[in-house]
Amino acid sequence: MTTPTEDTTETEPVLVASATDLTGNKPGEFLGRTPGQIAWSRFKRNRIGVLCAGIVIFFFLLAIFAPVISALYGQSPYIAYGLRNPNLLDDYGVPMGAGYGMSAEHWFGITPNTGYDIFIKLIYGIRTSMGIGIIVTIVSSLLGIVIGVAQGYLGGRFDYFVGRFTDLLLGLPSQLFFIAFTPIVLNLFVRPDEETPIHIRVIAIVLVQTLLGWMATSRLLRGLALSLREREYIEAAKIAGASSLRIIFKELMPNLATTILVQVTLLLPLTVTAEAGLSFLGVGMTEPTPDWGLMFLDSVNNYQNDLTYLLFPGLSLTIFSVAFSLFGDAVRDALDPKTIR
Amino acid sequence: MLRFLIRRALGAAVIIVLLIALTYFAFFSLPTDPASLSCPKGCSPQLLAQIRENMHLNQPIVVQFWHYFSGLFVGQDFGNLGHCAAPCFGYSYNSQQFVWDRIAANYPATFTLAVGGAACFLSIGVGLGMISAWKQGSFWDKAASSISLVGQSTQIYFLGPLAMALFVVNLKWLVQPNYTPFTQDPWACFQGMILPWLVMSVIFWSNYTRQVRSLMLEQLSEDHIRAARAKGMSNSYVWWRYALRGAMAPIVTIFGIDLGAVFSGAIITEYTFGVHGLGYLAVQAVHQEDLYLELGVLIFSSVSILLFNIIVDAAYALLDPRVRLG
Repeated sequence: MTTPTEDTTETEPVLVASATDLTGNKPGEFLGRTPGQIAWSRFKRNRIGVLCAGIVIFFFLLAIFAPVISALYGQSPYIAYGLRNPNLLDDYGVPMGAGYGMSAEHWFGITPNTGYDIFIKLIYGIRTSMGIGIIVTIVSSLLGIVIGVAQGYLGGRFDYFVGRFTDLLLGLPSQLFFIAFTPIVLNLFVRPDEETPIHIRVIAIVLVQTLLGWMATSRLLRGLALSLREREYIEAAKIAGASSLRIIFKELMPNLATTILVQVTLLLPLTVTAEAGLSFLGVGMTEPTPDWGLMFLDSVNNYQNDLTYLLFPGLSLTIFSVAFSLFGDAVRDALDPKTIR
Repeated sequence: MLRFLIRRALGAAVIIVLLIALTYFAFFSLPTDPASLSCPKGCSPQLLAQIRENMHLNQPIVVQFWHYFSGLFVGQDFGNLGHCAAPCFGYSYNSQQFVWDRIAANYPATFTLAVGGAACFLSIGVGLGMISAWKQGSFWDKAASSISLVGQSTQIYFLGPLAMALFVVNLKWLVQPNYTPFTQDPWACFQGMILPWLVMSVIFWSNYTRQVRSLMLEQLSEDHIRAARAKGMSNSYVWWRYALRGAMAPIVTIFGIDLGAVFSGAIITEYTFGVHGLGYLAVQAVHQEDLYLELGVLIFSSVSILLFNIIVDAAYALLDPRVRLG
């Protein structure tokens, strides 16, 4: 079975850097640079990458400082202003005023029917979705790293059976499984007649997405570990009497770090959109928790009356995804010595 | 070839049995009370008792599973509800229908969506890739790459309503997306489905664009292309008959995987546009807490994906003689 995990179209020609670098320049003095410094200087030269890094940092700051923004802005994401102040909505529940209720108080307007403040709700929604996405990414990457490296390093029967299991999971319709299993996992923690607390919901979403999210990482790392295992320095470490743990953590891991970092940056937007998608389908978070996907659900139900409401979560999620995937590419280009810029 | 198919079919059979067992146990042994989970809202104690009886919940879990599993092949009796014929996926207590009937009723919509959507994303994705490769490094190349990148990053539940607001509500060019069986009225079917097809295809483009671009550039620098040009063949002939053919094999692989994904139900597309297909059914089943229906859709989709993968691997070998089926 052929399943593309990551972009494997790296067929760009390999140029020896020294051949092009030294043209015209005097050899001069050589400054020692660590691989990190080299990667950073390569990254800085990539303008799009730097721009996207800025956007990514901006989103992180929004998510982290959501309560501060809320305090400064003076509105809360949990208050339905339209119900409190009937002047904000007309008889059909459509926000009144220019741009569907945009004002100095409500910058992005208010939601139809209920009158939540869109600006602060969006920021809190980003916070929820990104928070869950980050947890899922970290946990599933850790799982993928452990399984992949163990497979590659140990090999043999373990590798075979885990590999078949990975194939099986990769072949499944993952979105369908997310949807079907989230209620089942919820049911594990909460009795059907009880109200589900938010943290239990988060745990259920994280569990389900993690269980079906580690395979791509483990596949990638298995292949790498398999080839690194045969290198001389690993053999040298073995001959020197290093334990397996030491070889894995001190010899293998530093060489896998680049791949892991790139994989994580590419995985994060996927998990965030997957979480938003779950909430959109009514299986993830529920009202009144602010959530990116829930905002879509609410705005899609009202798109005929109030299209601007849809634009805010829509454009922000698109910008987020584009910036993250370009950022991931830039990180890979900067860290991979084989690509030329 | 035959040996390969037999071997893969056997492997798939084992996986399918394992899969059914795993999902069944997850669905029926993890929850505290599966019967109350699949009971419709406000259900009476009599119905609950009846569901318990039908699910064989008083018997050990292995026996329960056996009832379900054998029911898939020989059918199963559902007490006073009557006999459930051969592919018996259980009974949906919400709609008071057998699960298989509901799957069969919704499958044509998914099938239509998948076929049309796949045609769209294959032609547009490959087209954009060809443009990129043809005008390599130019404005068009960058434009095609950017479009497909943004397309990959948008969400169907954003683009869909946007497209509907534009083409249906404002311009009134199209009708509200709906599914009409193709056999009944091809033109209405096309009109109702064109928007879901196009919007669904957007997220698939970028993979094809990128792959086709790099594969075509790789192919065009090969020796046999130079030989063909040296013989005096026209540029377009070389492009379509030589380069594209060489670039096609990996595309077929991706296409097969995507096709499997859309055939098993494009959940978000169906939910956004209200197309009542398999994915819509799955979401409905979860909302209504219909355990048998969820399980049925899940098994049906997974099995169809597994079968698809085998077909794709076989097709790959037919297209590319260098590939040996081991």
